[in-house]
Amino acid sequence: MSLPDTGAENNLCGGIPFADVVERHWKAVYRLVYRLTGSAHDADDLTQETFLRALGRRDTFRSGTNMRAWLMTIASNALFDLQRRRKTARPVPLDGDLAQGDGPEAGPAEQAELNGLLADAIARLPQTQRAVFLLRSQEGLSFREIAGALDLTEETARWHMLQARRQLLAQLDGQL
Amino acid sequence: MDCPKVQEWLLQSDLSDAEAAPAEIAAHLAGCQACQRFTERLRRLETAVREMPIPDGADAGREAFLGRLGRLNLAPRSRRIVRWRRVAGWVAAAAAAVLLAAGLGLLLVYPGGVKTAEASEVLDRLVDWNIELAEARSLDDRGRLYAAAAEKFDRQTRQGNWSAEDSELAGRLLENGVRLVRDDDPLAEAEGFTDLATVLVRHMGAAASKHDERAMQRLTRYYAHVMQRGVNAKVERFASGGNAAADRARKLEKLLSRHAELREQVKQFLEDEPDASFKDVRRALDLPPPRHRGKDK
Repeated sequence: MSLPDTGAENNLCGGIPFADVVERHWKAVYRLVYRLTGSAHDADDLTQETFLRALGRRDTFRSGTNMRAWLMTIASNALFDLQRRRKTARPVPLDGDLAQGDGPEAGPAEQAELNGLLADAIARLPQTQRAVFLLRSQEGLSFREIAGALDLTEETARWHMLQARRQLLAQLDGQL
Repeated sequence: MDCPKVQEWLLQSDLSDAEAAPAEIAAHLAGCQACQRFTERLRRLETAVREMPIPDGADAGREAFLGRLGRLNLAPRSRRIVRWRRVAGWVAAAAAAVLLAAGLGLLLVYPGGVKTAEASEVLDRLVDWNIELAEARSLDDRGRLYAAAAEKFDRQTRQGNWSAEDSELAGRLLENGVRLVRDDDPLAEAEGFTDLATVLVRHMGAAASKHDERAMQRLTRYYAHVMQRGVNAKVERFASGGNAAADRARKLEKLLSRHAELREQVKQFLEDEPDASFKDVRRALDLPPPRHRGKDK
């Protein structure tokens, strides 16, 4: 899907048409905020907010740097802003609806069970650990990029990753 | 090097092939099946995370956003460069033809004269529209107001041959409209309107340096409107909401500090202007009359 022809240079971000940026990175941003919030509704809102903010500040993106990491930073800030507005952290769903309620069928029963357990375990991580873990494992950001996105030092980001992995392995013992 | 130390290192590594393990750890891993199994578990964990499904709504959200992006065309930033080129080229080509009519003669002196009037009408309405959105009772109402007018404004801003400043201002007003539709947090709204005010003051500076009184009148009128019914109204609403968290209180302080700076700049611009032209604006902004003239009649 392409933008109306208003001049090719009109919607560029790092030299790329913004529509292409949306096409390439929308799902990744959605995936991150969905895992962080546990809500498809919030994920939809936050993803839109992320790309709106990115559009508004596209001239701050430095060409040659990791655009996904840049978008993840914006998404993280959008989430923090949402949580501040609500004044409460999003409660961890108690009935596993994070794992089961919103998504499509994951395939064989065993896979679905693993997905459920994994989603539940991730949802129980403290927020920063969860964010670090997802940005690294799910989105492939380097620890340096994660540190930048979450306003941490690289050492702290690695520490959060250690805690997150340790907890997940403990909770999923026998499943992996 | 023992297993707990190696596994602790693994837990905080990025597991990529590119990351070189320190020699001691690599040596231990090469010979330790327990740590090799541990590494494998970590990799399976990452694979499992990447394969987790997400709701179907992601694709629909993206398509809706792209559709909206196309309608909004929120990117006049580089468009103004195209417009300047068009205007400059047109002026050069029209130099011989402009003598044919009195109206075209005006364009010799003010190449954008006729088009500027059209821009000002649209900008007048865009400013009013922003205020209307901000004063709507609910986000739903804002959404309806937005849907009724955004596309038309977008089309009008694209079809006119506007100056760089007018294009930028129109883009910012459209962008603020989007923000208002998405969020009714008064502090965020005040920030958005402050950003608008900052752009207006910058344009005032440009108009003042060119002694463009007409532009100054228009811009100061917008500024007064934005400050009174955009910024101040939202700041009051935020303040009346009760004790704010420390970070939000700090944000408000920064905003108020920006307002004070903007006010000083506007005061400076109006210092040398005939007071009759800006009497209403001065009154709206609670600014004193210029030093070199008497009281306003």
